[in-house]
Amino acid sequence: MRTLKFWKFLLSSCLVVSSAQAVELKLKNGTSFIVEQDARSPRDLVMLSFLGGNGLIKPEEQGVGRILASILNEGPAGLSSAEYRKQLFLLGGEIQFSTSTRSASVTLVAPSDKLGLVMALALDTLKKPKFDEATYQLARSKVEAALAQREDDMGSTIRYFAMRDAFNYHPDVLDGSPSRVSMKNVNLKTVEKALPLLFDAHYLMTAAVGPSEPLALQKLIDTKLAGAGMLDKPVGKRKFQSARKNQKPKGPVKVVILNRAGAPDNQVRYVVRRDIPLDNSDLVALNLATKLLGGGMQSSLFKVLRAERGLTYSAGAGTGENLGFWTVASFASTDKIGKLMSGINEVVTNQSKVVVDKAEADLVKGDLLTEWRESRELPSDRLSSDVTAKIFDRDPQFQETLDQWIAKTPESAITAKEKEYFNLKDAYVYVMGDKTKLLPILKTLGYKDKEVKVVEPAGIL
Amino acid sequence: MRFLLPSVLALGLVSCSTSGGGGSSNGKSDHSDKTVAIQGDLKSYQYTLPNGLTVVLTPNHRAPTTSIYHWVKVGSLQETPGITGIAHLFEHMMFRPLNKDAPSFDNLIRPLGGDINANTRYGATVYTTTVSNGKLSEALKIESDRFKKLVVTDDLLKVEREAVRSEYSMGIDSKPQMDLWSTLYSAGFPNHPYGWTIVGNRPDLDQISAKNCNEFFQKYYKPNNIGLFIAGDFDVEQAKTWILANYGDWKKGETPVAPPPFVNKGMIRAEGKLAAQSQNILLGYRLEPLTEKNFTLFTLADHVLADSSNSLAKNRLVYEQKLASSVGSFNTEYDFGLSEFIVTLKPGQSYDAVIDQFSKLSEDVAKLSDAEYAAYLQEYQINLAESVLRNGSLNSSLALYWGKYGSIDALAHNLKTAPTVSKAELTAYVGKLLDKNNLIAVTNKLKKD
Repeated sequence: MRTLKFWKFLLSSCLVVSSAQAVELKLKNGTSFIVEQDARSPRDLVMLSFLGGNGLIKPEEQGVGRILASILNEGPAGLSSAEYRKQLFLLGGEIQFSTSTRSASVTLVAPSDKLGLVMALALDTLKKPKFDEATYQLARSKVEAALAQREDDMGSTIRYFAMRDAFNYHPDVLDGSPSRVSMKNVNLKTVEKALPLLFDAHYLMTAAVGPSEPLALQKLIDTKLAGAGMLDKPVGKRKFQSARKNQKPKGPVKVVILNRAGAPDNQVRYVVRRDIPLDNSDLVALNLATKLLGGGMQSSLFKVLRAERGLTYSAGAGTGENLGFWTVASFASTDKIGKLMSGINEVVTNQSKVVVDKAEADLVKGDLLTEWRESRELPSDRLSSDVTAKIFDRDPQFQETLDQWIAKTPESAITAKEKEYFNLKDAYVYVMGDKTKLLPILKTLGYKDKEVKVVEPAGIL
Repeated sequence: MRFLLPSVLALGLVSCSTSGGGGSSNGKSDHSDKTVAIQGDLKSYQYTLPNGLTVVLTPNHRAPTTSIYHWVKVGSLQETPGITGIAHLFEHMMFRPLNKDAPSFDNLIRPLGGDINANTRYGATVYTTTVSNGKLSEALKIESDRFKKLVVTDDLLKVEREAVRSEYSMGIDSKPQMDLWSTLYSAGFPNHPYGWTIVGNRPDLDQISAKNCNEFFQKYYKPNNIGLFIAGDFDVEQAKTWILANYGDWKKGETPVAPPPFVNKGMIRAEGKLAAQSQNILLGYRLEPLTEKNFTLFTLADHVLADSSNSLAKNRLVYEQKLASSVGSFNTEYDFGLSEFIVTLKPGQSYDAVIDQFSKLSEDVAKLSDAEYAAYLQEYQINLAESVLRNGSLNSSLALYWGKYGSIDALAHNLKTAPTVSKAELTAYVGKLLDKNNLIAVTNKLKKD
């Protein structure tokens, strides 16, 4: 469903609060409804976000959320999957159930005159899901196939493991991705139990964008949700525990090898957990500093490791504000991985000492500004931003006015953030490749035996 | 579910995605001067300079940035054994300094808020730049300089060669899906430029010299082989002045010669080198070369079979026959009409059964009711309309249609009206397309725990 994937991509990217054109209304029971009209869009899009998400599911049962979403995507009980798909298709609509860390979502797209019917189908599905063995097995097979694909891809595997390990399986890293280990604990019963937990209307938020009039959308959604009994109680507020704090690895292990026997290539990832400031000038300064370090072709990592030394095709750095980390990632063949890792350390250390001048600050601000403009080009982008901001207790106005924050960030603030953050001493370090090749390489880099741990990906939770 | 062809890009940096593409197989593109209504109040103004450079300007005063695309109708099809991969390697060099004393392209474009990228295909190399509004004049100067004046040196080439080796190692050597794809082409198109990957054969990568690159550049990077597409907030007449000032003195060159058409000799089966956790089969059906006339039929077939929310291949293989857990299609090589599908099988299912079911899909097209068929046509059009809402993607689609299908008129037409293809036409086309004699089927070995 390419189009719905297109909308989901838009909606899953940056969350920010109300944009200039979006308004926040309320439904009957106080449920938030953010809406913006977009006359250019051919169809209306509605998102129902149920706060909670896969973070509510134990690490040992991750996969439940994904299977549940897959079952819901087969439509309501009493209507065959084929008939459901056909009905939806003839209405010109799409419905996607999905789950992430802090929320479960229903995303609907439909022509304005069919939106009510498409919503009715989605709500019917939530009321009467297909909790039968055949549908469960179908859904499970899809999730297992996606797991197999992830396992085949070293970049995806190292990302999956690094985040969970560095954050010790905190709820905010539990996005529903399963492991072979967790899938052993998942069955139809655990999936059934997850439905009222993940799709609890008491913690609902709604949003919409499209050609329809905002008040007309509000009325429709109010009516449909009330009709489904989802607005009977006043809306609640979910409390989430933040993962953001300064945290370094405990114990003697400094680097973890994820073994892939015979791999010709190697992935490396550094994760530094920090209590990153949110929605103020400090955050902007940090984002600018991270861009200078590893945010594109003009960055230090790219220039040194690729353009000058030819060690890799790509090296980059980024920040995870909601979780609280900054990271460096790259890859190289076995003959270059040692030089790459020492090169990364060298570049990060050097960058921490750079005094950013006005010219360089202006350049990197221009980069961030262009990114910001493109990320908020469409009303649906801004809507997505607003919704995510609310889910993560962020200030929506911050993203809306980021250009002003960028403009007033002095180069001294960027320099200060480089000095404060760019140090890999307390990093969680992960390397994926053939352990028989990597162990001696890590030794030459100065790692002692007790500082290196080897993990077999098949045994990862 | 639709996939983009596996990209070797990581971390959002320079893209060398090996997606397919090329000019229409007869080599012709529309060079006429005209105004084309695109969508709503958006219009594109197309014209051609005396040196053959095609220009398409789409002023969009809602756009937050200005998008610049150079579609160069040269790719790995112009390579020969010994210099396979040169088009892609050269693409890397286009981001380097013009000469040893000059700053690199990215250093020059960056002050303009520049976001840059590129990708090499079989029949084209595409360079994309996004700048802040109001910076078009300066951007065109910088762009035209690199297209006219680049000189590749051995020392800079040496470093880029290493980056491409890394791309190879991370992609084709490590990812089972990339391996399936490269096997499909090598097995399906022996002794033909389509048979080697965009990154080329490794021994050739080691021996390509700066001299080879400069010869390639001088021969093919000429205005009559290029389309320049600009979309954003700018004044058309001003832009025309700047374009003439910067590109007008560029001399024409040779038109790239397409290799002889590939002669299909029946079904081919092959196995990839890399083992994977699940059984996957990549199916490539070759039919006739694409032209402006038949590409709508081709893309509509692709939509109905795999891309649609009600994809027929998914309905049959996943739901009815329960052979697969997913079916997707690749947006790739259109200029010889290759339609690719990737199927992940359920454990223990048969590859032959999948091939057999695909050959029956034309029956499913024939059985569609009038209402269902109309819904596919409408969905096709809506997908297209939604895909060009952004300034950058609009410009990308304009460049793609001109570069691959020969004209932007078809894009404008398809945005306004659903395709005028009858169900009978589509049924016949799908039946011809999915004939087993057209098939290249590549499977992977299963990884043993």
